[in-house]
Amino acid sequence: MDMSVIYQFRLLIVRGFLITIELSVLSIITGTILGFLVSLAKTGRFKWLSWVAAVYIEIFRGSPLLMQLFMFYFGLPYLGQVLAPSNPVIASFFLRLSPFSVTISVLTLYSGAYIAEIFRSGFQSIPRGQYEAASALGLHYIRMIQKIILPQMVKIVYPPLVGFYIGLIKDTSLASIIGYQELVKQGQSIINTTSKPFEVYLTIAALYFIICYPLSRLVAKAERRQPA
Amino acid sequence: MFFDWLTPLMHWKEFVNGAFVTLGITLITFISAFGLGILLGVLRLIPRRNIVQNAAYIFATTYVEMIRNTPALVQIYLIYFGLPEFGILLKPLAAGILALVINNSAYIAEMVRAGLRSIPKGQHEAAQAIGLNPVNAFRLVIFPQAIRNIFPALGNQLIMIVFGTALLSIIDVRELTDVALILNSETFRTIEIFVTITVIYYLLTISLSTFLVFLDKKLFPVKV
Repeated sequence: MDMSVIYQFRLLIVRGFLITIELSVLSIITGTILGFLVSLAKTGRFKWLSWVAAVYIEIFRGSPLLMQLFMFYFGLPYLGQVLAPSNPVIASFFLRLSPFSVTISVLTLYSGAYIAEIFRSGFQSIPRGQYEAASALGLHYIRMIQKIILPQMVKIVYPPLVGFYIGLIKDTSLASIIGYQELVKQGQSIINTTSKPFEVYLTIAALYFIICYPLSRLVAKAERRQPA
Repeated sequence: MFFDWLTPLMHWKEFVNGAFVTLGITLITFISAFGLGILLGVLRLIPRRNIVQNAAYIFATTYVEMIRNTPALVQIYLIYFGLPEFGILLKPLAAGILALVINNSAYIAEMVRAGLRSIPKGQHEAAQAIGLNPVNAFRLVIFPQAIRNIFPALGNQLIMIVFGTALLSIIDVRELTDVALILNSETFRTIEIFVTITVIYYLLTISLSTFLVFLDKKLFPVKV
């Protein structure tokens, strides 16, 4: 076992680490926003909107993330060709998709579906009386959510949400398969040069551990405080 | 160029083979990971009175925390690409199943631990009162109740294993996602093939979920 290759290529590893953190934070933010909106749609008044949200959630929770990544990465250029075979503007947009845009889009859609379910169960765990009291006070929908429901929901939703974030940070490693230069892909470049896969992948695993373990301790502490 | 929905139909045999490989890997992985997970979950709950018990607890805790906080993809790469550095060469299928078993055993260990901790102390005392030794008390009284409590979570983990098998497409295991990639490079009918694969995965998930709900009602008719 020869760990000196890690020190030799430390700058590449640090760059990949930072890109992974950037990708994780971005997809967490966009996924949470989308998930919150979809959960509002699913538990809202309009039946047709709730149906659209349900279909979206079923699609993105019913198939593997890797397959979704492949479908978007290989399928979008194909879709551009089918929909506008002779239009160069549309074709160039679809054919110029970078691994980064595809990864962010798919991770947002994927996490949006799961986060929507987390928020939905949060909404449904707030007692009905709160909603009735809010409408008795004359609050309209957005105020009710903002002032009454959300503050109570945060404590309930926090452990499964952060737990999902940890999974999302680990899932960003799949971006390496479609060629995005995050931590795993940088590691593979190093392996191509040095032929030391075990040392490199062990270091990559350790770096993911450094990010994820504190978060999982946070979740464990929060879950212990709840009298479930 | 229009959509050509005949292409996935013509290759139905590859899809069926891929689905069977996926299901087979899922089953083997779940049974192995379940067994290993029970062992690890129990090891995390034993009293730490002497050095051996302490070492077992520390081993189980380290194993579970390390596996749960690292990506499954890196674990697969470590086993398939990293182990040959030490002379251990595994075929893709064996390496993939080993990686999936190790990964899921950690999550199942946490579920088993939570399930066992949720059993009231009174059950342990009652089992002891009717004269059962610790092993039989665990086997006949405690464990079945724990399984009843965590059965939905175990079912969810089974679905997650189905999605985990998709990762094995990278190391050349002929499961469903790999079939999609191969057919895509043969026929270039990307959207048709991937929509078909999505539908197949969705059908697999729905039928597994329905079967698990039925099994739950059959095995555990009374819930506490």
